[in-house]
Amino acid sequence: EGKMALIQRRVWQSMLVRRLVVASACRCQASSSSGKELKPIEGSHVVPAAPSHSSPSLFYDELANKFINCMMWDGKKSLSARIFRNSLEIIKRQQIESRGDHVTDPMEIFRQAVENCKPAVGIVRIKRSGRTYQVPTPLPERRRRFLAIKWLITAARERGGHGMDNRLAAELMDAYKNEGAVIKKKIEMYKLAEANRAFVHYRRG
Amino acid sequence: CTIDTFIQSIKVYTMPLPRRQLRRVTFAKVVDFARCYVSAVPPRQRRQEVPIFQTQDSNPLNFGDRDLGKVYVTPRQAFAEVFPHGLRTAFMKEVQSCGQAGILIRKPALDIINQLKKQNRFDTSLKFIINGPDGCGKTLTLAHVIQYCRRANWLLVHIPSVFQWVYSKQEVRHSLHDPQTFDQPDEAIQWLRNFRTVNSSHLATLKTCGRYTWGKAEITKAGSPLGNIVDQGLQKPFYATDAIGVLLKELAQSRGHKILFAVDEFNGLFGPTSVRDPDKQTLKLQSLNLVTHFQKLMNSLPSESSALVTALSRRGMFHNSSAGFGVRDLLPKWCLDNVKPYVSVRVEEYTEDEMTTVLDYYVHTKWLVSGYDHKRLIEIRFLAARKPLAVQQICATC
Repeated sequence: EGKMALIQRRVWQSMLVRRLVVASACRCQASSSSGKELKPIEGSHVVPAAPSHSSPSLFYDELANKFINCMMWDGKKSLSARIFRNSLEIIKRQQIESRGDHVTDPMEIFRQAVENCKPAVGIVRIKRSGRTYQVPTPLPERRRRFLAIKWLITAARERGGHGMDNRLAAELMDAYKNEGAVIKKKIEMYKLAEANRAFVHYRRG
Repeated sequence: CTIDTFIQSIKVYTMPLPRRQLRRVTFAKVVDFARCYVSAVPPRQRRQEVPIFQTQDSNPLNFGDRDLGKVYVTPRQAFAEVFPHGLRTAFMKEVQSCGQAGILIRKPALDIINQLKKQNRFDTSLKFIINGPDGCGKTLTLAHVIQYCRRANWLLVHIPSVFQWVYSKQEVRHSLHDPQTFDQPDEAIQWLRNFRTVNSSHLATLKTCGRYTWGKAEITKAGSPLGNIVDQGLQKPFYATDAIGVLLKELAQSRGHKILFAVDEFNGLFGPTSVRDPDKQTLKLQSLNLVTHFQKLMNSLPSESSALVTALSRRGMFHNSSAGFGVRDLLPKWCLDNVKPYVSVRVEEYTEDEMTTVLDYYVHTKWLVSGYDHKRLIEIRFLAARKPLAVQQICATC
C-alpha cells in the first residue's frame, strides 16, 4: 500500500514538473513576435512544448529563419545565417550610400522581395485518359512561400559573382524592384497557367 | 524657447548680487525685462545644430573630461588624410556608408592624451601599450590619439597593421644591404607612400644628419630634407626597406621635433612569422628587415620629444595559445624588458552610458535603421556582452 502511494506520488511529481516546464516554454513563446498560438488538445492536461526553432528574441523573424534553413547545406546553419546577415548588411549599405528617400531597413526589403516573388497560381500535373495535362491551380500560402524562397536561393547560386552574400543581396534587391531572374520565372509560370487555362476543370474529381 | 520656459529658468537661477541691490530687484522687474528681451530679439541661433551625443567642436585638441562619452565626427576625406591605409575593416565599412568617422571619446584615450600634453616635464620618453579584450576599441583608441597628435602637428610614424607585414603572402627579396636578411618591397613602398601623405609638411623641414649611399652611384648628402629619402625609396623598390631603416634612424636622432610612433598589432613584432623565402622556408623575425628596423627603434627613442603608443591585438594572431589578452600574455619577456618603462592602458567593454550614446549615434547615421527602445537596448546589450564590435555587427543587420 505504502509502495503504491510512493510510486503514485512520484508519477504525479514528474507530471507536475513536466507541466511547469512546458507551461513556462509556452509563456516564452506566447510573448515572442512569432504570432503562432498554441491551443491544448481537447481532453488532454498537458500543453505541447514550444518548437525548438522559435525564440523570444526581438530579432527573431520566422520568414528569415525559414530562408536560412532552405539555404543551409549539411546542417551548417551558422554559415547559412552568416551569409544571410552579410547580405542584409550589403543591402543596407547600398541603400544608405545611394542617398535619397530609399527604404533602408534590409528586413523590410527582404520581406517585400519574397512577397514579390510569390506566384499566385501554380501548375499541377493531372493525368487523364493516358495524357498528362498541366493544370493551373491556386497555391496554398506555404507552397507560395516555399517557391519564392527556393527560386531566390537557386537564382542567387546560379548568378555570376564572388560570394554568396553578394549574389543573394543582388538577387533580393532585384526582386524588391520587381526585376530579375526570379520575377521572370514567376511570369513564365503565369504564362504557362494562362496557356493551359482550358484544363482548369480537370481539377475537379 | 517659449516665454514660460524662460521665466521658469529665471525662477531657479540665483543672481549673485550684493545684499543691498537684491532688495531693488524684484521678480516682476525680471519678468518685464525677460518679456522685452524675448519678444523683441529673435531667438539666438545656435552656431551648429549637433545632436546631444556629439561634441560641439570636432577638434581633438580641445577635448576634455566634459566630452567623455560623446562621439566626435571626422568627415571621410579628412579621415583618409590621417589614415590613408584605413583601420579595421568593419569600422571602414561604417565610414564608407555613413560618410564620416565617428569615434567615441573614452577615458583610456583621454588619459594618454593628457600624459602627452604634459610631456615636457618628463625626462623619459612615454610608452603606452593599449591592451584589452578582443573587439573593445584598442585600435580606435590609438586612432583617437593619432588624430590628436596630427592636429597638434606632431610627426606621425604609424604602422596600421604589423600582421600584414609578418603574415604577408607577397614576395620577399634578399636585401641588397645585407644578403642574409630579407626585404619586403611591396609593403615598404605602400608604407612610404602613406607616410608621405600624412607627414608631407614635416618632410621638407626635417634634415638628415648622416650621408647615405644607395648602391653605387646615388648619394643623399647630410643636411638634405628627409623627403629625399622617402622619394628614394619610392622610386627604387629594392631600396624601399633600406629607406625606411634610414628614416627611422634619422628620426631616432632628431631633437626638438615631436614624433609619435604608433604601432597597431604590436605583438606581431615579437612573435613567429609566416612569411616564406624563395626556397619556401618560413623566415624568422630577425631575417625580416622591416621588423628589425622597428625593433631597433624601441631601444633608441628620443626621450624629450617623442612618444610610443602601441595597441596589442589577439585577433588575427597566428600560433596563439594564450587565453589572456594582457600585456604579459601577448608580449614575450625580452620585449617587455626592452620596452620598459611602459604604461599599460586597458580598454574594456562599453559602460551603460557609452552603450546608449553609441546606439543614438547609430540611429542618427541610419546604421541602426529600425531605431531602438528600452527592450531592444537590453537585448543588444545582452547579445553583445557590451562589446563594441559585437554591437556594431548586431546593428548592421537591423
